[in-house]
Amino acid sequence: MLKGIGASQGFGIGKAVVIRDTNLDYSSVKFTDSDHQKKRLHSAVADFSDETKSLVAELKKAAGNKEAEILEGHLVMLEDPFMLAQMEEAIDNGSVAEAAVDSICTMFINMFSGVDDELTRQRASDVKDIRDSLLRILLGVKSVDISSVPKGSVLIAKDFTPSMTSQINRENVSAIITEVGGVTSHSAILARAMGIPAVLSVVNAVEKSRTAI
Amino acid sequence: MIIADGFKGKVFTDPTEEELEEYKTKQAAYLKEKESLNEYFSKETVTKSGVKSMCTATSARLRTHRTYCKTAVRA
Repeated sequence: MLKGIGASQGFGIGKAVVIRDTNLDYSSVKFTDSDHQKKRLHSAVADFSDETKSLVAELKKAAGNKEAEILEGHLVMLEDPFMLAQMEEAIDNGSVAEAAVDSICTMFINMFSGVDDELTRQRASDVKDIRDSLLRILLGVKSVDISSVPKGSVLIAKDFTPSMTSQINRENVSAIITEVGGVTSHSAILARAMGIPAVLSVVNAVEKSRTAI
Repeated sequence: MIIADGFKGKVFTDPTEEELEEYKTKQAAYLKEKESLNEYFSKETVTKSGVKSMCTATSARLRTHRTYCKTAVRA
C-alpha cells in the first residue's frame, strides 16, 4: 500500500493508466537567425493561446467557470509583456526559441518555488505548464490525449498540470494519482470540482504502478 | 487493478481480493450517500413545524454541512 495525500474525496477502482512525461528535448534544434526564432516563438504563443482558450471552454463545462479561471490565468501570464520581452532578448542573444522559453520560464519557476507561501509556490506549476506546452508546440510534439482513456481508468502521472486535467473525461476516469501536489494544487482543485477522487504526493507512484497496468 | 482512496490518501497497486471487496463496498456506500445528499442539497431547510433555518458552512466542511441540512429537512 502506498501513502499520499487524499486531495479529492471518493474511492476509485479501476485499471491503471500511466501517463508518461513527453520528451521535450530540443538540443538538436539549430539557431538560424533571431527574426526566424522570434517568428517561431510568436507563432507558438498564438497556438498556445488558441489551444488554451479551447481548453477553458471545455473546463467551464466540466468543472465550472471559477475553476476555468486557473487556465485563463495562463493566458494572462503569457500576455505579460515582460515575460515575452525576456524571451525575445534571449533570442537576440543567440538562443533558439525553445531555449528562450525554457530559460525564462525556468527562471520564474525557480522564483516561485523558493517562496514560503504555498499558494505562490503553486504558480511554479502554472509556469511549468506554460513552458511544457510552448515547448511541445515548438517541437511539434503531439500532446497526450487523456480524453480518450477507456472507462474505469485510474490515471497516474508525476503531475497533472491544469491543461492535462482539463482534458479529463470524468465519465471514464475513476481516480487520479500523482507524485507531487497537495490539497491546494490546481490538479486537486480541478479534481474536486469534477468529482474525481484524487490521491496526490504518492512517492514513486508511476514506477510502482507499472506492474498494475 | 488499482484502488485510490481519496479520503485517507491510500493507494493499493496490487490489491488482494479482500481489499478489492472492501473498497467496492465502501465505494457503493459512498456513491449511495452522495446520491441521497444530492436529493436534499437544493431543498429549503425547514422543520416539520415550519421553522426555517439557514445552513452555512465552509466548503471544507461541505459533507458535514450537507448531512446536517438533510437531518434538518427531515426533522
